[in-house]
Amino acid sequence: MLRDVIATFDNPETRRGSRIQSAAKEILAQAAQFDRWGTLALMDISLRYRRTVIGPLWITLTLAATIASVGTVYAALFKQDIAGFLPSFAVGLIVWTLVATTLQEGSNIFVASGHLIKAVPAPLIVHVLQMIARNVLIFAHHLLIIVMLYAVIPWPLHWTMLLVLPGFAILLVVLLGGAVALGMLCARFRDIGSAIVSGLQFVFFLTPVIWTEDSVRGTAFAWLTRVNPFAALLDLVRRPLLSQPMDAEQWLLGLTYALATAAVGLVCYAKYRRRVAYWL
Amino acid sequence: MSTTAHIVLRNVSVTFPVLSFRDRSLRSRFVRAVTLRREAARPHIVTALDGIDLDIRAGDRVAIVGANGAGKTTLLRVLAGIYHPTAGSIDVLGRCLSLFDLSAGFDEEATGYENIMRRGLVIGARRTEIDARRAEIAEFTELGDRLDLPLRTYSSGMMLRLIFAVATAVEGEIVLLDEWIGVGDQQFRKKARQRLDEIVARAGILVLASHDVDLIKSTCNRAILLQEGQMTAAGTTEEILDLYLGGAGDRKA
Repeated sequence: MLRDVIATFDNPETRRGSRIQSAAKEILAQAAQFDRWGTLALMDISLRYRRTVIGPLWITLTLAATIASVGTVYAALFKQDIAGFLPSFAVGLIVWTLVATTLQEGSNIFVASGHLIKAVPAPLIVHVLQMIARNVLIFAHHLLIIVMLYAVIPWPLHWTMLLVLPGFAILLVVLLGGAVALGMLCARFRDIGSAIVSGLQFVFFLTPVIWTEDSVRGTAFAWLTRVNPFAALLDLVRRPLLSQPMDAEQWLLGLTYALATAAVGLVCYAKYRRRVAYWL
Repeated sequence: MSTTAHIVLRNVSVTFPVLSFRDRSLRSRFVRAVTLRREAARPHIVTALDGIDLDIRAGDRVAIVGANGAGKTTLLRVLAGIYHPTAGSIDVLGRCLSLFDLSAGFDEEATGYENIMRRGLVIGARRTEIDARRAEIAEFTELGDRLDLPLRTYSSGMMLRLIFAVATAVEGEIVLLDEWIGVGDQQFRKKARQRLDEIVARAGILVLASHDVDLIKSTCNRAILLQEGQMTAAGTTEEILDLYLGGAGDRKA
């Protein structure tokens, strides 16, 4: 018990060693302790079930209603084939919800856990891992919508659907790096949090969720889908899940984003994790 | 227990930026940068600890005395590894049990048993370890079936029993205490006192921040005096207490 407490001390050894290296070590060591943050996340979810009978399924229901109503209306408005549009919209919205909630909660994570951070010596990354695990569990609830949708509007199943796993892994790395960096930024500068909320809303409309890539092809907005990292990341999960082909370029782009966010997150963690307690 | 535990602080300083709303705002920074206003908008820096040198060896029972705001809690947080010193070095060897802010990690909505698990995980214990101690903790609280109820239904006395039982279920070679914990009704208070005494007796090192003179005299064999973040004196309990009480008396007069 409490064995990792000793590792967090600022002893001269770790000072001399590379800070980035010790930060990376701490993150990996904590990530391996699935038992700790995974159980805490599971308990968070079970508490939500206690507060309302269907718990996180409320969010699933809301999403399902949005998908059914907005999906059919937009399909008609944009004169899209509903069998093609609805699954893509549904998966897109569900993945977007994961991305947006994680980044939003991530930007508030250290402020929200401030009491704990100042009371118990624990690596900061635990709070982030717990938050992401919680949101992934909620995301898993939403997969129910996709299963139900498949029952109504089936799309071809192909072995390439398995590519959703590496796609999702890349997305999680981006979310982890992003949450750490945003969390630290927002702990220091408190007014960014609200900017992030409205920023995400703005990005939502620039990302092909309620509209499709095909519908902008050849128009002035086609570049939006190419420069928008959220569009690329969304496709890493959406396209495999809908058995749509992916090319190497898309994977490469996704990996680049993952590496970049992981690098930013790691540098922030190495540089500021010892300062965060003072900002709270 | 352990004879190897030690704490070595060399020239440890802690400075806090006290961030006003302006400093916390990126927008106002941006405005300042754009309008080229270079007026001294330095964040207010508070030196909570200043050049602390401290050697604590196994067997030491150290009392930290000082007025409110002298840096006692900050020093304990530095020893616990919550605050990382902004200057100087700290070397702590031994498992550290920090007994302050004991209610952190508890959830009102979760049951007593769930809270035992939550708090345990929060402080870094493994699930299996917590499961193994569950019965023992439950027995100590004497709360029985109430542990299946959500925490919000507990009276404050019951909650304190649970919090105390969970916090003291682990042992450490180094025990950090911010004021002695006294909890519950007469009967439980006695039991709690006994457990705390045992933990302290087994620990290699005790660091206690307190204002309770009698307690310090009966528990500690060394003391340090903090004044505005500086360690102004260190020595035996009697010397330091005389100095502290004398000084406090002077200031009052």
